[in-house]
Amino acid sequence: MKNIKAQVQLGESTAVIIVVIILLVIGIVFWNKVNGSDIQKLSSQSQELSTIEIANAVSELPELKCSESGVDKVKCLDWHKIIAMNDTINNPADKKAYLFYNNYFKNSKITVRELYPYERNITIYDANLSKSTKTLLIPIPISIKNYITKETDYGLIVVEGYYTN
Amino acid sequence: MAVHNNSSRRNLKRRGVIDVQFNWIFIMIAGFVILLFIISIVMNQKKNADTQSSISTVNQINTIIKGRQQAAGVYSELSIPETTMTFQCDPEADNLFTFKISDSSRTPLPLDIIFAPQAMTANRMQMWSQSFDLPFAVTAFTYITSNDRIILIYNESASSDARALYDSLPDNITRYFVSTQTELDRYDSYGDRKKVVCFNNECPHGDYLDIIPDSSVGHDLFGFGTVKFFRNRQVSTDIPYITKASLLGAVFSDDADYYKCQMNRALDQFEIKISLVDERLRLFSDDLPEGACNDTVHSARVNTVASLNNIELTQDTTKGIPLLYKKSAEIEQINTDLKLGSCPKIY
Repeated sequence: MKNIKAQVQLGESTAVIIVVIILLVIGIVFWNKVNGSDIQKLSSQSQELSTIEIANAVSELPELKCSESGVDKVKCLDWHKIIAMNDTINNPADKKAYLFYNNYFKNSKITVRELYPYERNITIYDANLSKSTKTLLIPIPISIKNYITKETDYGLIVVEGYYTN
Repeated sequence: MAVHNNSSRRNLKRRGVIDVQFNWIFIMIAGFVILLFIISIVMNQKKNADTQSSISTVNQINTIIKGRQQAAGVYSELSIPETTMTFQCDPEADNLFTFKISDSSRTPLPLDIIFAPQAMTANRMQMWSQSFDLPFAVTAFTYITSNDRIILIYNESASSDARALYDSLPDNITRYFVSTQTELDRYDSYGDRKKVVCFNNECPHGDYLDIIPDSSVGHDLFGFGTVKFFRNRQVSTDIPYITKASLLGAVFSDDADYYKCQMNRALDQFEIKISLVDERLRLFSDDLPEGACNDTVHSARVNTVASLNNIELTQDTTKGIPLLYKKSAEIEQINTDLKLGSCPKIY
């Protein structure tokens, strides 16, 4: 009878060990999950912020902005500067400018969308990431000044930020 | 029977002892594991908090630096927990520029041109920026120092250059005139935290930066010239500077190689920007009707911008800088002429 009692006690202890181990494993898995989701959240937040940063910076670039008598005009892009930048960045013979602006625009696509009086699109820069990546799209209203015809057109500068899931 | 009973009682007692010992061993092991788990969580949290704090400081500095790029001429201060910042510009790695805070990983800054002491321990950073124009905006230079550092302008012969340099610095940056070696020795307690600037080889003993403005096209401190870094009893070669922004870069740098590396990065950016200007002028030539405007634009492109497009610019020799200065002044003049003639401007 006592022999059986001792065996039961040993069985109890083993069961407790197993329960404690299971609890520890659950704890570790839960901890990793919480940490992992935090990191994922932070990473997607930082990618979104980076796109917003690019959108803010691109309309303020001296290489694109209108300048009259040394004074920069707010949210105004110079038509010839847009075309010059487009030609230079997308020049297949010289990738130097593309590589330089890659540091500015990172994983994004930047399109100048003219809406009035004409409708046309000019893609200044495209990181050409795969279509499977998500995109965050930020349109900024701008005016586009042509200093030869003295005409001002209206449109959007659209920044699409590619980011991984 | 009695014998059997005695032996079985002894066996049970032994089993009981083993059982009690086992329980204690189990409690100790389980307790130790749980303690380890809790300690690992605490350590992990501490590590995360440290990383987050250093990331937040890096982000703050990054944001301010990026703000500097868009708003040149702005001075600001940043309070941070006392920390050591190191700036590194590596000519061996294609002028890769990185900075790091304490033991955090290095953050690359591929676009920013920062002039600062290579290692700086401080809890209050002073940041200032200037636009680097040749004559169109190439980039913005950021100057970083701390509130416990001083600039000593050695002014033995009361030169106008010393006064011009003094006036060009923001009031919040501590700087003094010194005119004798004895006066200079009073600041010895600052050690590496002082920067001595002198002009035209009229320099004191110790470490200093010697500025020699070029006088071939009329004396202008903020035009172009050369600088020499004298550090640890070794003098650097003559390093060219061009414009005020570049000269101030030398004032805020503590090392000749670092200054050269940052200037080479700036000149690389100039090459990209001049190709944009060239393309813009080509478009103007195509779109402008024949006449005075088109002639001026065409001549600017062929005679001035084209020569800058092919110029070999490097801080290792003083070769290209005088030509760059001359052509930059020409572009500025052409731009003014275009403006006066109601033509579209170059920049």
